[in-house]
This record gives sequence, structure tokens and C-alpha cells, in this order.
Amino acid sequence: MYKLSRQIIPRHLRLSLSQKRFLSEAPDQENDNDVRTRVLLASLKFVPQHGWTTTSLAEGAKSVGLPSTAHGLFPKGGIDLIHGFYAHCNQDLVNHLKTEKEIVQKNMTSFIRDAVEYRLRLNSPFIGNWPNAMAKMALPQNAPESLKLLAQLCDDIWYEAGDKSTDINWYTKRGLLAAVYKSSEFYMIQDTSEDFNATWKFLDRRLKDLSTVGKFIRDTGNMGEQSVDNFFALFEVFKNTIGFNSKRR
Amino acid sequence: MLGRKRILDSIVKNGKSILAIRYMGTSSAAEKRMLDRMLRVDHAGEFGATRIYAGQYAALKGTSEAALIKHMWDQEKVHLETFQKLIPEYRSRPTVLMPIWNVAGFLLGAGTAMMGKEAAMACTVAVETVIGEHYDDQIRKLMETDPKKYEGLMKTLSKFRDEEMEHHDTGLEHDAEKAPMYKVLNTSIKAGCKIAIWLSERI
Repeated sequence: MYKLSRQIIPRHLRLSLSQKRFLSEAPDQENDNDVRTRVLLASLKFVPQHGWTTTSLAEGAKSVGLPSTAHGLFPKGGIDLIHGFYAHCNQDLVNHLKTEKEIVQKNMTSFIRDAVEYRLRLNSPFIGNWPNAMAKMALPQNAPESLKLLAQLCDDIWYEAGDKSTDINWYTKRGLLAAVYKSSEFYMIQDTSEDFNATWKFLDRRLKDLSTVGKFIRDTGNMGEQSVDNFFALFEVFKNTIGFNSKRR
Repeated sequence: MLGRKRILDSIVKNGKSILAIRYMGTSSAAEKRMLDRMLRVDHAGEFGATRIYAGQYAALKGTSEAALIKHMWDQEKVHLETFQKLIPEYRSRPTVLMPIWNVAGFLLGAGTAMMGKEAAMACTVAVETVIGEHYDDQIRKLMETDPKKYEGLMKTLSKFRDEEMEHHDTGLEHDAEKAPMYKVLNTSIKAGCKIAIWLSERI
């Protein structure tokens, strides 16, 4: 198992020799990723109290019966906890969308809207600590991984929505969704309304803006075809100007 | 509304996940990356090819070569449609350079066709040579990786490769070598295609 995972696990998350030895002596022979996931999920309970910190990780490790030094499984500390939680929620969303698709048929806009709402709600237990998490994710050293997770989230949503685009729209769709998600996330951390109602209204308005943008893109898309004719007309004019008109040659 | 506690509980219960799925992946993570690249570059290549033929057709409309070009164009369209289906299937992505290949392909096709039908055929010969070699490389790679698993994909690729080679031969039969500056055209178009392939694999 370890050999397989070796190339895929980012270097900073790989286990050291002593950690491996510790794990191989663990009673139920879990592999390293299971242990990490277990510690991560247990640590979340301590986030409201200790924030996104190594303390939360240590408390979490203790609560699942590991020594508190097991937070060493997350060498970057708090940010590993945040990214782990983010990735976990992304996966939760994918599972949710897959089951939901089988139950109800929706049009694409409401499918995406509900997906964004579901995903944002997954952050809600930690809403008090989320501004801090967002700030940490935006730090230059953490931003690449954070962006990757955001890109993955948007790709997952479009994929589950059944998007089949294979042109530049592939990028515009995901980019626009990322902007909608991120701005709603910002709105949500300042939202004091009942059940985040104001956030969902904000989300609806952003998506309405998007459909306007989409219409604009579709309308301008036809310009390409027209410009072909213009191009050849110009070439004819050019030929005539230099006296290279084929009929009179 | 999902209560705070319920979400927390569900997170903890469904816990077999994230790091396991995201970081561990499977032994095929490297394979996935290889397929991702392959499909992206093939998609870009077939898209470019349809644009080149579109350019040639626009410039040679009404000449005796038009029907031939239309035929080759239609075959490329089928190839393109295949990759348009495969990209979402394998969760690859199109190259960022699509809009550039759109214009560049059309201009290459129209530009050479305006130099005469021989030059158009020379362009076809150069492009199809590179694409044929490229498909061969990919088939070889798939063969090395897992011939059983990728049997279908290899069949598709070799069918396309054969059709591209047909286009190549058609070009030669239609006096490609009589084009003005054939050697220069051939070399520079080939070099351009190789750069395009290199870029499309990566971004």
C-alpha cells in the first residue's frame, strides 16, 4: 500500500520512517491515510474552540486514542487541517450530487445553484472560524493548493451537471462559477440573517448575472463566422488594387 | 436546514475519504495524467485540422479540388466529435489555446490554398505526416502501458491514423510536391505542428 501511494502523496504529507514504524505497530494495521483522515475528522470538533491550529490537531489525535504528537502527520499544521476539511467537503458534495441526480431531475441552473448552496452549508458549522480559514488559504504559500481545491470543486459541479463543453467555454464556465462561489463565500461570513437567507438571495442574483453574460458570449460567438467572409472580401479588394484580378490577367 | 451538529456528525461518519481519495488515488494516477495529455492534444489536433480544411475549402470553393477537400474535412469532423466525447468521459480538459488554434488553423489552410492548390496539398502532406507519427507514438505508449485495458482507444487511434495517412497520400497524388518552395513549406509547417503539439499537451 505504501509503495503505491508514495508517488501520489505530496512530499510534505509523506510519512517519516519512525511514523511508519509507529503505524505498523498500530493494533488494527490501518494504512497511513486512514489514520490521517481519522485524526483530521476528530480534530474538526476542536476547531470552534482552538481554531485551525496544531492544538486542534493534537486534541483530535488524543480523542481518537493516538498520542498528541500525532499532529505531526500534518506537518504544515493548521493549513493542512483546512485543506483537508475543504477536500473532504468537496468529496461530500460529489457524493451528494451523484445520489441526488438519481432522485430528482433539475435544469442546469438550479442544479448548480443547489450544489453551491449545499457546499456552502458544509462550511456553516465552522462559520465563526471560516474568515480565518479563508485568510490562511489566501496566503501566498498556501494559495496554489487552495486554488487547486477551488478549481476541483468547480470542475466537480460542472461535471456532475453534465457539462460537455470542449472549447474555451470549459474554462469560462469553471472560472465564472469559481467567482460566484468565492463571492458567495465572502458574503456568507458576514451574513447574520436567519439560516443565511441573505446569502442564498445573493447567490441567486450572481447566477442571474451569469445568464446575462452567457447570452452575451453566445451572441458574440457568431461574429467569427462573419469575419471569414469579410476576410476573403478584403483579399479580393487587395488583389484588384494591385492589378492581380484573375479575370483580366 | 442541516443543523450544525448533524453536519458535524455526518462529516465524522462518512469519514473514509478525502486524503485517502484525493492524495492516494490509485496506481493509475500516472496513467490518468498520460491519458489526460493524450486526449487534450488529439482533440486540439483534430480541431486544428478541421480549421485548416475549413480554410482550404473557403479559399478553393468552386474549384475541382473542393469536393476532395470537403471529403477530408468531413472525416476530420468525425475525428473531432470522437474526442469531444472522450474528453468529458476521461475528465480531461481542452487546451487553453483553442481560440488560437481556431484562427491559426484557418489562416494556415486559407493562406496555403491561396498560393494555389498544390500548396494546399503540400500543407496537408506536412500536417498529416506529423499527426500520423504522433498517433503512432501514442499507440505505442498505450501498448506499453496496458494493451488490454486500452484496446478500444488504440483501435480508435489506429483508425484515425490510417485515415490521416490516406489524406497524406491523397496530397502527394495531387501534386503536393509541385508546390512553390515545397521543401520550405514542408519543413516550416511540420515544425509549427510540432510546437503546437508540445504546447497543447501542456496547457
